[in-house]
Order: sequence, then C-alpha cells, then structure tokens
Amino acid sequence: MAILEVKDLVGGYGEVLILNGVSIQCFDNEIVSIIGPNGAGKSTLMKGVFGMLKIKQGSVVFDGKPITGMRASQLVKLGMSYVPQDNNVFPSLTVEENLQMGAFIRNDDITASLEKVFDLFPFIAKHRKAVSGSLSGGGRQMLALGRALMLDPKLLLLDEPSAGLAPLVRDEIFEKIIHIKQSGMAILMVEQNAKKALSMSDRGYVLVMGKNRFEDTGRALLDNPEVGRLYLGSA
Amino acid sequence: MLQLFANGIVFGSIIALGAIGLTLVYGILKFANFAHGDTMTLGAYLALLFFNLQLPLPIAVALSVILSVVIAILIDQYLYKLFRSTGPIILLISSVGVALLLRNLVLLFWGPDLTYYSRDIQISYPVLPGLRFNNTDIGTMITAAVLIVLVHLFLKKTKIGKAMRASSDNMDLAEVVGIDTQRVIIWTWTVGTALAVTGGIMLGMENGLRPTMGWELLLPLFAAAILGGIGQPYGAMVGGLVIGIAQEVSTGYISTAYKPAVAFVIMILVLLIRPQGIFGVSKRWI
Amino acid sequence: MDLSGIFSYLIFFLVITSVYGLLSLGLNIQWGYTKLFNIGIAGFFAVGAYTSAILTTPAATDRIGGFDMPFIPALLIAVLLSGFIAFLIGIPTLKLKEDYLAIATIGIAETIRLFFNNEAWVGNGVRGVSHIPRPFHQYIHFDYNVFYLLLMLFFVVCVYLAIEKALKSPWGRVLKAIGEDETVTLAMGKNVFRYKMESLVLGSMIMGLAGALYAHFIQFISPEVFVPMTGTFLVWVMLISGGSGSNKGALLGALVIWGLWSLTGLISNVVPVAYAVKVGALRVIVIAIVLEVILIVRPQGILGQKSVLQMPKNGE
Repeated sequence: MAILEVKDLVGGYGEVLILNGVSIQCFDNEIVSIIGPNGAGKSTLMKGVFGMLKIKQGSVVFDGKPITGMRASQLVKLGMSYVPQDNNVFPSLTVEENLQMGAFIRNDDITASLEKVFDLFPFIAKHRKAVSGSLSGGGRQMLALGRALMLDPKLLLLDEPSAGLAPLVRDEIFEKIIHIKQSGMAILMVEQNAKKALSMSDRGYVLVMGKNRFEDTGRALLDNPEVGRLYLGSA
Repeated sequence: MLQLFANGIVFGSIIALGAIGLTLVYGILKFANFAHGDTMTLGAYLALLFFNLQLPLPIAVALSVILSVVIAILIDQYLYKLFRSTGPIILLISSVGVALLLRNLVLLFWGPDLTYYSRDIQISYPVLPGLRFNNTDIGTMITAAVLIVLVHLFLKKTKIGKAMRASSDNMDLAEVVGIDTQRVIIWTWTVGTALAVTGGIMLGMENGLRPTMGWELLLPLFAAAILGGIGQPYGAMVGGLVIGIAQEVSTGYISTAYKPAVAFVIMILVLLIRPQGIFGVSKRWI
Repeated sequence: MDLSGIFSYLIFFLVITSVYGLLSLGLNIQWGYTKLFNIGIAGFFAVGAYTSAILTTPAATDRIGGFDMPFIPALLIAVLLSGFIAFLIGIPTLKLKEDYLAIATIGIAETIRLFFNNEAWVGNGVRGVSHIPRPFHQYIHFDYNVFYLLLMLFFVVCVYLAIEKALKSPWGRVLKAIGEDETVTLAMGKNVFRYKMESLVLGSMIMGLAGALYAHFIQFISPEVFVPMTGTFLVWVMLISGGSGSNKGALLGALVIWGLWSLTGLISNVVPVAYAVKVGALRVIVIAIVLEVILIVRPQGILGQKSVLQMPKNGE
C-alpha cells in the first residue's frame, strides 16, 4: 500500500490554477522524484500535499488516512516532514536548538534521535553549538534535513534540496538522502537537477503544465530519449 | 552627573522591561503594539486597586499581573486575531484604539490626578560620593535584573522559549516544523504583558501614577526596541538602559521637558544609520 | 435652549466640522492615497495655528510678536511653513516602513508640542497666544460667526475641488500606485520618494491651513489645543469611518464623527463639573469602540473601496 496517494489534484493560488489534475504515489523505502520544466507545478504539488495550498479538486491520502487540505501542524503529528526550499532553518537559534524544534511535538526523550542525526551529519555534530545563521548554504541544508528527521517521519518531503549549492556540496546532500532512504523511509523529492535526481530515484514523475506527463522508474526515465531531449538538457 | 547616570539605570530598567514585551510581540506577531505603554498604565493602576484593598504588596502585584495578562490575551484572541491575515497597519490602528480605551478607562475610574501607592516619604541615602538611592530605586533595579535573568533563562532553556525565538525568526517555518504557534502567541502576550505590568508598577512607585504614564513612555519604548534591534529581546534590554541613561543624562544639559525628544532623536539616528539596530539581522528590516 | 442658542451652536458646530474636514482631506492625501501613516497631525495643525497667530497679533511681552500682519499673507505663510516643516521631517522618515513612520510622526508631534510648551519666547508657553484677530471683522455687519462659516466652507470647497482634480490626475494615480504597491511603482521607474514627499507636504499644508483658520475663529491657541492624541485620533477615525481614499468620505467622516463627539459632549454639559474629566474619558471610549467596530465590520469605511485596508501578504 502506498504511504502517499495523490489523486487528480487540482489547486493553485487564488484564481490561478497551477495543478490541473496530478496523481502520484509514493511507497515505503523508495525515493520518488518529481521533475519538469519551471512552472510545471512541482513545488506547488509539494505544498498541496503538505496542506499549504487551496485544493479545488482531488484527494491526498497519507498512510491510509485522507488528509486533503489538512494543516501542516496536524500532518507533522501524523508522520510527515517537509523541508522547504529556502529559509528552512531558524537563523538565530543554534544548530542543536533547531533540531530540538524539529522534535517540538514529541514529549519523549529525543537524545536517541539527536544522536542519529549527528551520526548522519558529522558536520553539524561538530557545529552543534553554532548559531545557524552563520552556517554555509550546505551546512544549513544538512541542518534542515536533520531537523526533518527528528520526528522519525514516515514520509519526507524535500523541495529542491540541492538548490543554490556548490556541486561538491550537492553530491554530499544527495548521498545523505540515499542514506536516509536506506533506513526505510519514503522520500518524495522535487528537484531542478533532474539527471541527478532520477539517477538516485526508484521512480519518477515528469510534470508539465500541472499535469502528469511521464511516469516510470528513475532509470527508465533517464534512458527515455524524449525525456532526455526535453527536460534533461543542461542539468 | 553620576547621579544622573544612576537615575538613568533605574529608569532604563523600567524602559527595558516594557521594550522586551514590545519587541517580542513585534517579532512574533509582526505588529507594532501601540497599546503597550497603556498596558503598563493598566497594570500599575490595578496594583493600586489591590493595594488599596489592603492586600500585601506581592499579592497586589501578582494579581495585577495575572489580571492584565488575561485581559491582554482576550484582546488578542477576540480583536487582534481577526486582523492577523489582513495586515500590520490595521493591527496598528486597532492597537491605537485599544491604547485610548485602556487609558481612558483608567481616567474614568481613577481620575486624572497624580496618585501614589503610599504616602510615605522615601528617604534616599548616599551610596557613593554624589550618588544617592532610595529603596524604590534599589528595588526597581534588582527586580528588573532578576526578571531579565528569568526571561533569558526562559528563552534559552525552555522548549516554549526556544519556540518563541524560532517563531520570531520565521513563523511560517515554525508552522511547518510543527511548533504550536497558537501556544507561542499566548506565551508571547503572557511574558510581554507580565514584564510591562511590572515595569508599570515600578514606574508608579518611582514617579507616582497618572493615566498618561504609560503612553508617555511609548516613544522611549519604541526607541529602545528599535535601538536594540526590533524582535531581539536582548537588544531591548540593552536599548532600554541606553535610552534611560541618555534621557536622564540629557537633563544635565537641556530642559527636563525634552526627555521624550531625546529618545526620539536617538530613534531617528538609529533608523538612518543602522536601521536593524544593535543586534538586529539585516534581512529582518524589510 | 432657545432658537438663537441652537442656531449659534449649529454654526459653531459646522465651523469646527469644517476644520476637521480640512484635516481629513489632508490626511486622505497622505494615508488614503499614498499610505503614509501620519500620526503627527497635531504638529502641523499647531505650526499653522501658531504661525498665523503670532504673525497677526500685536506685540506682546515675553514672546515674539508685533508683526501685525493682515490675515491673508499670514495665512499663506502659515501654510507654507507647515509644508516646510513637513519637508524637513520627510527627509529622514519617508524611507521608513509604515509602522516606523507612525512612531516617528508621533515623536515629531510630541516634539513640536514640547517646543511650544517650553519655548515661551515663541508662543507664550502654556498661556498660549490670545486675542488673535478675526479677519475682515470691520467689514462684516451681520453675525460674524455666520461669515466665518461661509469663509470656512469656501476654503473647504476650494481645497476639495483642488484635491479632487489633483488626485484624479496622473500625479494622483502615481500616489495611489505607491500606496498599493511601492515596490512595483519603484520598478516602473517612478521617483517614489519625490511623490511621497509631495504627498506629505501637500497634506501637511492643508493641515496647517486648518490650524490657522481654527486659531482665527477661536481667537486663542495653546499647546493643549489638540489634547495630546485626542484630536489626532478623531481625524483618523473620521477618515477611516468615512472611507480612506475618498475625499467625500473624508468630509462625511468629519461630519459624522464630530457629530458623535459633540453629541457625547452635550452629555457633559448636563453633568456636574466635577465629573467633566471622567465624562471626557467616556467620550473617547465611545469613539474608540466605534473605531474597533468599524475595523471589524467595515474596514473600508462608508464610502471607501474594499481593497484599501487589505494588504496582501508577501509573495501571495
């Protein structure tokens, strides 16, 4: 059974509809990438799943429960974690405090989760007392990822995790994402860097103008000449 | 001069207490609460009420803090909340209305004349050559210092305190992360109002009570908050002391009547030279 | 109260309504169109009032005077001086965000009030300037107050027509654009600062005019002429209830709110003097409640358009 099931989602901002009937699925222990040209609705889809969009039609089901339009604070309690594209850490809080905030809704002892995040990201372990605003772009991105993991979520939503990062740092982030998936998590990822995203994804969807265009395994999409010609050009 | 400086620390502490609440509300709720000064007035007069009922001072203070916090939360939940999605200007206008309401309610029930908590004359005694304090001065400085330390511990060590700092950084992200922003808002009003009320009571002890006492402090409060960096509680603490000292020291050179003008000039200078204030982050200033 | 008493009261009422009408029109240019949050109305009013008063009164001990100017030049200077003060204030403050501008203008109004309060050599301190002459007194052989009302209405109509024309012109459209979205207007290549300054100065000159006309009617002016904040607050409630962005709304609001204020004032006439201050407090409470109700129920005011107070959140 899919951990996330989005069916014919229609929605947008005010009168402008960005999503015109998108359907995707995400299963446990897999990375699903959403790629497509600018304005296709990739980030909007993510916002629609995470309750930050006005849904006109369609449904979102998470872990068997219908969650269409539910607010972010409720979804976090159900086990969904979202990492926005930017402004995704609290700059005046320390690294450790950011992680603590990630676990806000938990009332149990979070030391084990903290240790797991520090193991996964030795960089932020080293800087645990640093003020987050002083970290580099890569450091902040790792912190944002770590923060999302503090909830031991069932589904991780990543909005352009490599945006604005230098190539070396990008690769490191992608490595960590693969590592996270290997622990059994379901990851839904929107990425501009389509080639790289597809090469590490189990499955992928190509969105165009708010609609599904292609759906296949990551490998297959990479090898698909039409996809390659249209969308994998410079990535 | 030393005396003026010391007076500045006393009044600066009072301004700091008010400015912390103002800056917290601005940072988290994104609006300039023009009713904050009059909240101090309300607190001071409620304490007067309880004090005149022969309740011991600590009880009177505690009761007026609790009652003021409840009133502030009710005003937020039933008035300001309606405007949260509309914009900061309507909130500002609304808070001006609330300011006038509070001030005139005080005027209505207590009249315009100067009153005091107690008729006892305070004896000031020399501490250093050229420096005298009375009991109220010392009490004010100690209370302010204790409260500031408590606020610091609250913001740094408690979960909700950290959540408040996080919400001040980025309210939307706080929602995404799962922080109970509703609780954060309630706590913001609680802490801010409690500090303001305590400051108001101490102001009443120092200078007596008048219905305009808090409103007259609004300009220095904003100057302190802006100087320290709007949204930065530690900045407000420092800003409060600086403004207090500047105002008191200025009386050595210009007429006492121009004290609020001193705060105003400092504020304008900050806005022209370094608008994000001492501790402010540049990007917040948009 | 007999008929002539009611008539006198009505004339007085309408003259003051006209004064507030001018203030509301001035605020409408600044706030209604350009979204400049000016809480310093009292300051410009005071500058206009004091200037005209000082220029037209005969010499007096312990303050400057003796200019003995006729009404019209004095009025002109008062208006220009208000505009000039606005210009000086605008230089540091117009770049600020609305809420910072609000606090800055309070500071300015306070400083102006303190100035007149303290610097007795200018305006006689708290004792104020009295015996301000009534313009054209020697030519009027009927009820002078009626003449003054006609004079006021003349000014109100002239200012109204002039502003209507100005605000409907391309200049006015830029002001409105700035009020709705400053960044976009800047991107269009408009010198936003210059337009804001023009809006501030023009509005303040009208406020100065109101002050001067008030001074010549009441014949006495002091720093407490605008009880700190009450007068300013009334003008704001007038504009908001009448409809920000609408000149007709500004005038309507002046009439309605001043009417309400005067109505509550009648109550204080029948109450023993000892309660005067408390009733005064009650009157302000009434107006404050009216403001909150309007903000909740109909924030655009009677004649305003819906979008005026709705500010879209960034990025949405």
